[in-house]
Amino acid sequence: MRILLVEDDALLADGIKTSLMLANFNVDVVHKGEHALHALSCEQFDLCILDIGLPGISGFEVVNQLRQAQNTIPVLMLTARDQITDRVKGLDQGADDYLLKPFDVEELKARIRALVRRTHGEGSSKLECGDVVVDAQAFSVTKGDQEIKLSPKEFSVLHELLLHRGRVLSKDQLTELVYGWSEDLDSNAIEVHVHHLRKKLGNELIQTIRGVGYKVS
Amino acid sequence: MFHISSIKRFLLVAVISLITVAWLLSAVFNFHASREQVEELFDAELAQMSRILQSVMNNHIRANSSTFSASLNYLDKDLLLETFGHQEFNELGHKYEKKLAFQVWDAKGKLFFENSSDLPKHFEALRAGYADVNDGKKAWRTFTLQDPDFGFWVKSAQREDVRTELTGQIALNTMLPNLLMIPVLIFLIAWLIRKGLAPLAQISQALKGRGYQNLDEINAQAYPVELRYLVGELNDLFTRVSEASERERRFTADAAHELRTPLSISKVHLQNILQVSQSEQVKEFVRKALIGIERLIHMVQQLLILSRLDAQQEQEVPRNVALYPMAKEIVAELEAHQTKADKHIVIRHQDDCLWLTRETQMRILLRNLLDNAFRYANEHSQIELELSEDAIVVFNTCEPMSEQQLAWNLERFKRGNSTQQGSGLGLSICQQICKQNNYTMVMKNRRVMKNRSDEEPGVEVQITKNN
Repeated sequence: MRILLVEDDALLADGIKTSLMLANFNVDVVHKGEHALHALSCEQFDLCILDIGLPGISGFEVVNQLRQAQNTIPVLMLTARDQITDRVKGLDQGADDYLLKPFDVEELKARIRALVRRTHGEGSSKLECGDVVVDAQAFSVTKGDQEIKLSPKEFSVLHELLLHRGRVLSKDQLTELVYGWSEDLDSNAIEVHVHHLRKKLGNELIQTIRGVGYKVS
Repeated sequence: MFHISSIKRFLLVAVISLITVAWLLSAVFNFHASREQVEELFDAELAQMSRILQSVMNNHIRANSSTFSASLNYLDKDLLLETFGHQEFNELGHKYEKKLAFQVWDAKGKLFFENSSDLPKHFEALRAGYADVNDGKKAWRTFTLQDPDFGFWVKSAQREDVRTELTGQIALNTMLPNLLMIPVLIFLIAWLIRKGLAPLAQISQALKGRGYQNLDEINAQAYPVELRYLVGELNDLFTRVSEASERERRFTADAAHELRTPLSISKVHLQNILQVSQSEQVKEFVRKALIGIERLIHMVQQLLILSRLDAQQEQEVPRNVALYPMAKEIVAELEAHQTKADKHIVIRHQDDCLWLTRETQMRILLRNLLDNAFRYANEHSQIELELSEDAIVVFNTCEPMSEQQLAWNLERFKRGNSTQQGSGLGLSICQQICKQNNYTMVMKNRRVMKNRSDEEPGVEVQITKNN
């Protein structure tokens, strides 16, 4: 799952990024509202964690502009402001959730998962397709009664395909969602991960749409 | 140094004293002046009476003979008596006529005639002019003159006591209207002083009726010019206090607010260490560091609450709040967050317990009271919360506290039991909320029956509504 973290404080951004990456989220960080708007307009993210008190364009303004541009990405606002008026303002501008600093990392992860589930219309953290069950919270995959060991990137590819079930994701889209900006990758990395997933889970689960991308039906 | 405790009393006492002293001095002066003038009038009357008598007799002698002795044969004493010597006054006279006396002596010293036997008879003492005569029985004021033609003496006299009585009465009569005016004058002065000082009383009333947070300006134009400067200075003071208070509030709020980000940084990185570290020892250190961070976060939260209480009071209108449902929510939240799950809160209540209060502040008050009881209660103990229409009582078992410790608990940044975690702000916030909502907060030691034979000590915090 690819997350854009918009936080002006580099130390905090680094801490949150580390926490989320330890939980197998793919996190990219920007420190300004303008950069966030640019990144969100150019690339694909599953969720945006947005600090309110940003230099230049504030978090309120960022989410407002996103919604005006019909961008429906789930936005989780982070702020040091605990007044109800601030929360109401953030939610009214189009944010989906609100977390007050200082927060517990586990609570942040839980809220991220809940937001993503809600966005994709899922009722729980478990995604199912046939006899394959992917539990994002437990970071586990089972096929029937058998637990399947996946690498973090394989898990991410499978998770993204299940989150966007029924839709075709291109190789570039999957690359964006699974890899951050800071990671070097081979041009055929997604093909390699899909190959490994088919070996572990069977060829039927992931379909190749020739010339377009991959999908899970 | 001269100290004035009450301007009104000072003015009343000073003005009335001054007027009384001035009136007394004036009365004494008037009394003496009136008496002197009346005395002079009486003296003139005496002289006039002597001259008339002398003139009557002189004319009589001239008409009848050339000498006094010869003329006496023709002088009708009864007529003289009838003319000058009324023994009994009639409707045409005055009762004091009998207090007047006269004597007529011939030139050789023989008393020829007198209308009163009381007047001393000493021919050798006859000297022309006024004299005061006292024979030990009565005092007299006399005027004596000698006829230049025939040498006889005429002496007229008035009793000194009668003169004194009359002069006193006349002098007093002139003072009486002024004397009667004094109570009226005192009443008028008191009324005028009260009227004149009314604007001061209005300022006092305006200040007295204010809430302690009300720093609005007073309309200086509504007061007399003499007070406008004072009101202006008061308004300046209100502005300065308001600004200082706002600065302090903003500083606390800003500082607490700004602390949230560094606290977040510490907490996130410590939690990351906890997740990745393989060393149990490192994990233990990190857990302790996280406890410290949580304490700091709690303190920052309490500081923010404290800095916002005043603003909340102004913004929030009191309404009927059901305490029981509110307490249930808070208890559930506190019990869910406790790490050991060894303490339990029991709520005793009468219905929903409606209190006319500010909801936000009541929530903070209840939460802080219960949170405090949770922190300081003995392990594996029960905390009691009693709710009624008039009082909120929270009891937790713990070591009994000295009077000083109990007092410390209500002061900022002081904890009764310093080994426990806490910001030292919880109860001082409660106290401030009580102050703002006119409640009384009392903290005291209490013992409860643990079982049939043993008592257990503890501390009770009681909040009651003031009338």
